Amino acid sequence: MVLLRAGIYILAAFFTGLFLMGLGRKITARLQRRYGPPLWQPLYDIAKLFSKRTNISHGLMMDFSVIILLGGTLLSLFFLPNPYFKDFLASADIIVLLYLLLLPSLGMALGVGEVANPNGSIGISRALIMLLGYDFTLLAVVVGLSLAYGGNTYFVDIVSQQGGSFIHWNLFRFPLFALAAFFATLGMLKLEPFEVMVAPHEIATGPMVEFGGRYLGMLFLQYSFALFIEIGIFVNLFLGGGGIILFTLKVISVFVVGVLVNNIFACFRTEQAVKFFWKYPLVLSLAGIIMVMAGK
Amino acid sequence: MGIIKILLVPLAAAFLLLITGRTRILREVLAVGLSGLFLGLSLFLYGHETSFSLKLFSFQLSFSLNPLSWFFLFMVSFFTFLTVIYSARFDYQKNNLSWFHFAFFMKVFSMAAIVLASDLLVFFIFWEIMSLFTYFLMVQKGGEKDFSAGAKYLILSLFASVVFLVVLVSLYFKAGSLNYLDVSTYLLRTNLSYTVFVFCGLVLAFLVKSASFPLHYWLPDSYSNAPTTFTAFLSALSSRMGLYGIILLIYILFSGDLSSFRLSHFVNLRYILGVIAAFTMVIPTFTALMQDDAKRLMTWHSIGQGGYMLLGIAVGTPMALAGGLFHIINYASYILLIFLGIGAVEMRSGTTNLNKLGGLIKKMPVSFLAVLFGIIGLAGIPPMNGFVSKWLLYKSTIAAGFPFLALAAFLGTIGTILSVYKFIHNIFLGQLDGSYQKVKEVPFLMQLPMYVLMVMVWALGIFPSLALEPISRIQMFFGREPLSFSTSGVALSAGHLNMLTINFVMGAMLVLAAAVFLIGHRRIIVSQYNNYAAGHFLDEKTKYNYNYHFYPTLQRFIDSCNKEFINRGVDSIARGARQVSWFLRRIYGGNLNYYAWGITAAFLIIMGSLWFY
Amino acid sequence: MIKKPLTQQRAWQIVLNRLRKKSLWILHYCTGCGAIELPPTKTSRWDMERFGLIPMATPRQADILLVTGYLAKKSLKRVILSYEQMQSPKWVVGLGSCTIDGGMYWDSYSTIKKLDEYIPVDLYIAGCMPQPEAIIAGFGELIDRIEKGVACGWKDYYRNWRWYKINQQKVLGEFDTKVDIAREAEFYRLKNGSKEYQRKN
Repeated sequence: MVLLRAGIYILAAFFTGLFLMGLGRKITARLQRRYGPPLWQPLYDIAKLFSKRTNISHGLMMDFSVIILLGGTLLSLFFLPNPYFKDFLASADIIVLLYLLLLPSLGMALGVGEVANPNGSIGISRALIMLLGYDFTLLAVVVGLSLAYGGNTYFVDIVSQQGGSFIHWNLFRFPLFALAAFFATLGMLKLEPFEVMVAPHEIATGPMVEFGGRYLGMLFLQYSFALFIEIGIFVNLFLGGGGIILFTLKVISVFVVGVLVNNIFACFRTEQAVKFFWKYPLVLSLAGIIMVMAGK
Repeated sequence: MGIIKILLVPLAAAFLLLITGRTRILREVLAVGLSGLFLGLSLFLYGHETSFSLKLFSFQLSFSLNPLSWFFLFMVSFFTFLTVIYSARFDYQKNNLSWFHFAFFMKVFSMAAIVLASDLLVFFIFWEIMSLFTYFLMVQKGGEKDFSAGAKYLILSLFASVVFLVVLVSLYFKAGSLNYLDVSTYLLRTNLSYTVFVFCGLVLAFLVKSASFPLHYWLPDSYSNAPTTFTAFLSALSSRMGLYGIILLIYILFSGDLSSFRLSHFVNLRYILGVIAAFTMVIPTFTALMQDDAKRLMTWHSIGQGGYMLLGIAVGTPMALAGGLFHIINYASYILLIFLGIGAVEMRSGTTNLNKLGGLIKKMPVSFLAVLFGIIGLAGIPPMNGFVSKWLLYKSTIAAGFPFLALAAFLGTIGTILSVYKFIHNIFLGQLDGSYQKVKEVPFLMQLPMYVLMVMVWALGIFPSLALEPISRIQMFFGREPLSFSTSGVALSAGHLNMLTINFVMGAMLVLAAAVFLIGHRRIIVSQYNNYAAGHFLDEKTKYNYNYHFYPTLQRFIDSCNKEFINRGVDSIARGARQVSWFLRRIYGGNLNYYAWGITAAFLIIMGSLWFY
Repeated sequence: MIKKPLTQQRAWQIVLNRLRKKSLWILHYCTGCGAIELPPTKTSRWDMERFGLIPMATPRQADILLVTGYLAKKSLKRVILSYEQMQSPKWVVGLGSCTIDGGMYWDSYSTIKKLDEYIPVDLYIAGCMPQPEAIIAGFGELIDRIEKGVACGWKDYYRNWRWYKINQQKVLGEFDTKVDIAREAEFYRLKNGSKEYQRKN
C-alpha cells in the first residue's frame, strides 16, 4: 500500500514536471508569436531519447552518475511537504532538503568529469560558482524564516503556520524574503538570467556535452522532478502548500512567472550572476534577518 | 594503573623503533603491533574513570581519565593504528626511517599524555614535547622550503608557549597548585580582570595551536611539507589538541560559565569566539579554492573545518557542543581518508600538482572511491557523517539566536563544496595524460585503512549514535545537559533527523533509478579521444582538459582581496631570526685564543659578583 | 506482395517510430551557404519547432545531420567525424542542389559532387537554396519515411562501412576519427553487406 502511494506520488510529480516543461515551451512560443510544439512534447522527447539504439558512455562513473542523479532527485522528492505522500515527512527538515538537493548535482558533476571534455568541466565550474549565489541566498532566507519561527527548521511546521486564509501566507508576512527566494529559485532551476551553465553556443551545452541517448533522457527525466521539487520548496515556504489541486495550481503559477522572466532576460555571465545575487537578493534577505531580530 | 600502561605503550614503541628502525619488516610489525595494543587498551578503558599522580621535585603531577580524555585518546589511538598500517607500505624515498618512527611515536605518546593530564603543569610539559616532535616530523629534506616551513611553525608555537607559561606561572603563584579542580575553584573566587587575563592568555595559546584566524598562517606550509602520511596524521589530530585545550579551558577550568563576561547578547566572550570561528570557517575555505597543490588545498581545509568545531564549542548549547565534538571525530575520519588517497596518488604518479594530474579514475579506482567518500563527508552532504555534525551546528546556531554565524557556516560549506570538486576533478577526472598510462593501484595493505575509514564514514552517518553516546557522557561529565539522540538520528520536539530513513529511501530510489536506466540498456564504452571537440580530431598529443584556474571568476575576486600581511610579517620575522643567528654563530669561530679569553673573562666576572654579594 | 507478420519486435518498432518522428533534433552545424535558410525556418514565421524539430549543439544529442549546401573537402572530413559521433538511429538530409550533383560548384576542385558516396543520405531537398516552405515540406517527407520505417541510411553505413571508407579516403587521404566502426557495427548486430565495390542505387 505504501509502495502504491509512493508510486502514485512519483508519477504525479513526473507528469506535473512534464506538463510544466511543455507549458514553458508553449508560452515561450506564443510570446514569440508562433505556435509552439504540442503540450506533451517533452514526453516525446524523453521517449525518443530512451529509444536510441546506441548509448555512448565514457566509463562506469558516467553510468553511475546518471543513476545517482535521478536517484538523488527522487530521494529529495520524499522529503518535500506535498499533498500526495506524507509518510516520511516526520524527518522533513528544510536544511536537510536543501543539502539533499546537492547530492544529485555532485553525482552528475562526477560523471561529467569522467567524460574528459573541457566543455563539461567548464560548465560544472560555472554551475558551482553560481551555487555560491543562489544557494547562499536561499539559505539566508531559510535562516531568517526559521529565526522568525523560533529556530524551528521543521518544514511541515513552516507550512502549517501559514494555514487559514491566504493573508497568512509568508509571501505577505515576509515579502523581502519571498522576493529573494524567488530569484534564488530561478537560479536553482537554471532559468534564463542564470542559464550560463548550459550556454549552448559557447560551451556546447556545458555538462550535457557528451550525454546522448538514454543518458540525456535521464537528465530530462530528472529535470522534470527537479522542477516539481524546487518550485515546491518555494510554494511551501511562501505560498502555504495546500491540497492536490491548490498545490498544483500554485506550482504552475510560480512557474509561469518564472517563464515570463526567462523570456525577457538574456543570460548573465557567471560573475554578473553572482554579483547580482550578492547585491540584491542577499541584501534583501540580510535586511530581513535584521528586521526579524529587531522584532524579537 | 591503566593510565601508566596506556602511556607506556607508545613510549616503548618509540624507543624500540629507534633501535630497530633499519630492518623494514621488524619495524613495521613492531609498529603495527604496538599501535594495535594501544588501540586495544584505549577501547578497554571505555567507561572507566581512574587517576594517577606522582610527585616530582616539589610538584604534584597528576593524570586522570575522564570521558573527554577517553574521547580524544580513542581518536589518537585509532588513527595512529590506521596511519601505521598505511605507512607500512608507503614509499618515503628514504631508507632509514627509524628517526621518523621515533618522532611519530613520541608525538603520539605526548598527545596521549596531554589528554590524560589533569594538571596544567603536565599539560604544558607534554605540550612542549609534542611541539618539538611535530617539528621533527615536518622537516626532513633540509633546504629553504624546510626552513621557512619549520621556522613559521616554531615562531608561532614559541609565542603561544611563552604566553601559556606566563599564565601558568601567575596561576601557580596565585592559586597554589595547578590541578584543574584547584584552578577552577580559584577562578570562581577571584576578580574579573584576573579571570579575563587568564582566559585571554590561554585562549590565545590554544588558538595558535588550533590554527584559527588570524593566527593560521603557519599551518599550510608546515603541514604540506611533511610526508603525506604524517600530513594526514597532523591534520587529523595535531591541531585538535588546541581545540582540546579550548574545551578544557571553557568547560573544565571555567566550568562552562562565561556569563560573567557578557555585556549584552552580542558582546560576550562566547560570541567573540564565535566570530573568530566564523572568519576561520570562511576565509581559509575560499583560499583553499585557489591552491594548485593537492596537499596545500587540504591543509587549508584543516584550518577551515577547525572553525566549525570552534563554533560548536563557543556557542555551547547541548546541540552545538555535541555538534562541535562530533565534528572533531568526523573531520579526522574523512581528512585521513582524503590524505590516504593523496598519498596513494603521490606514490604512484610522483606529483601532487593539481595542474598536472588528471584522469586517474581509470587507473586507481579504490583511491578514487576513498577520496570520494572523504569529499562527500567534508562537504557535509548526506548520507555521510559530516552532514550530521554540520546539521547539528547549523540548527544550534540558529536556535541560539546567532544567524550571522549560521550564515558564515553555510558560506564555509559552499566554499568547501567548490574546492573539493576542484580537488577531485583535477586528480581523478578529466583527460588521462599519456605519461600516467602505467599507473597502478596501491598495494592492499595501503588500501585496507581506506576501506576501514570508508565504512566508518558511512556507518557514523547512518548511526550517529555510535559517536553521540560518548559525547553525551562528556556533556554529562561537564555537568551540562546532553543532547537527546536516537539510534539513527536526533530526536527533537519538532522535526527529527533520521539518517536511517534517509539512507533507506536513498537505497530504494537508487534501485528505482537503476531499473529505469538499465532495463533494455545497451551501451558502448568509448575511449576518451572519441569526444566532442567541435569537429577537431583528438589524439594523444592534444591536451584537452580544463585544470588550470578552475574557478576563474572567484580567482580574480579573491586575488584582489588577498594581501597576506600576516604571512609576510611572519616570513620577515623568520628571516630576521635567521640573520641574527648567523651573526651570533660567529662567536664560535673555532679560534682557541678567543675561547680562552672568553672563559677567563666569564670566570672573573662570576667570581667578582659572588664576592660582591 | 506478402505482408510481413506482425511480431512483437516489429510492433515495438512501429510504436517507437511513431514516437521518434515527433521529436527530431537537428545538429546545429551549418556546413555551407544553405544554412542561411535555417534561421527563418526556426523562428516565428515558419516555426519548425511545432513539429518537434529543434537545433542541438553536439552530435551526441542530435538525430539529424543537415548538410546545408556545398561541402568542401575540409568540411567533409569534419562532417564525417560528426556523423560517426552521432548516435543511432540517425538521418542525413542533403539540403540544396550541391549535395545532389555538385550544383553551382559542379566543376570545382575543392568540393564533392555526390554526398551519397561518403555518408548515406536519407532525403534530398532540391533548390538553390530551398525556401523554408520547401525545407518544412522536406522534413514532413522525412517524418513520413521514418514512420513507415524506410529511412534506414544509418544501417547502410554500418553494413557497408568499408565501401564508404574507401570513398572517403580516396578524397581525403588517411584519417582516423577515433570511432571504432567495426565494433559499433557488431554492436548493432548488422551483418556486412555485399556492397564491396558497387554503387548503391
